[in-house]
Amino acid sequence: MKRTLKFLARFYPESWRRRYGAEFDALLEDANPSLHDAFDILWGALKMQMTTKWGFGKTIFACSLGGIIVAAAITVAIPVHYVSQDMLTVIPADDTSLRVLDHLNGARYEPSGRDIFNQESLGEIIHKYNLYPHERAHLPLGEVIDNMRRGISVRPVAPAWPGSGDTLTFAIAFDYPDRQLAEDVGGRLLSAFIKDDLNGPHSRSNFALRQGLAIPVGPNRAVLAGEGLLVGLLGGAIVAFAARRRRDSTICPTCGRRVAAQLTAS
Amino acid sequence: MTDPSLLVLSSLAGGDKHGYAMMEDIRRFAGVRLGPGTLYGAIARLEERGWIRPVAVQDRRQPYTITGVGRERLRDELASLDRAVRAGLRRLRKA
Repeated sequence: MKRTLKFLARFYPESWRRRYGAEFDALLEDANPSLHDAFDILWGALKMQMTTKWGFGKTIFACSLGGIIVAAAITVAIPVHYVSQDMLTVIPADDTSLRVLDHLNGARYEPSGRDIFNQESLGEIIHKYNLYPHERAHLPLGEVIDNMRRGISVRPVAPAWPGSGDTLTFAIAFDYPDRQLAEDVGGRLLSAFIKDDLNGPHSRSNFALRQGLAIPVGPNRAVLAGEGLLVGLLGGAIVAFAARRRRDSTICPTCGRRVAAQLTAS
Repeated sequence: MTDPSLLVLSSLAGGDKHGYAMMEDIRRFAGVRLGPGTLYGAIARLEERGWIRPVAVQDRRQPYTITGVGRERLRDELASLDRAVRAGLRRLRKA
């Protein structure tokens, strides 16, 4: 560990090493080093490099690189989840398109007072598929069901085929961390949707189903990398500007404050 | 004045010390272990300000001593902290 710390101490600027290097190495010999010391030395070296040696461009480059690395770490840390892709096309047998649309649009919460995504039906699905095991261990079922509701979306999409203006197509999606469960539960929700409607006032409507594979959804790596780069560039510019100001200033020996350096004629 | 600088000055107010001795002294009186990078960052800052200065080297270990200006700055800083501590304690007692 001591050899590692001595190696890390080489990251300090050369001028600093000339002045403090020998005594710093002596300190590392005496102290009981820890992993925390390694980070402490690296951080100290970085600060010293930026304030005494690095130019504007180098500081910005380093900060931008740091921003991209942090963004990459975040994208790796955020888990991928899956969204089921099921489509339901309603072909009304009579002139009930508008009512069917209203009915299905409202189905998520209160379709004619019969909420197909109510607490009871969602609770049943949660138990049947053993969904959200970690949340269920810590939260009441009501909150878990609310979480599940947030993962369900029903939205109208464009007509399924040309000339099918009288049909209504809906995408029903369920968002879950497991691909198979996302597809299974998506299909189950679709069935509940149809069952609800078949038993309802629009029982003469016909339906066409298209069940798709769940697609992985994760952080947009390119966008995150771009954001990391941007934040790094801005942060680097601020740090480089502050470092330049620090280099161009001096310490007033009496008040201890940092003041602008002045050229004096000797 | 930052905390590490205050701790280093307080340590040197009790006598000349090299880096490791300061580290151990600060750990004893403040319960804080300054890392080597933090300690030498503070030492470099204080030396640049003229508040401490190196004295004769002892076997590669470089002891430092507090200067008159440093002692004065430390006294000011501690007096200011003392006022804040007293005011805080007084208000806590009233609450």
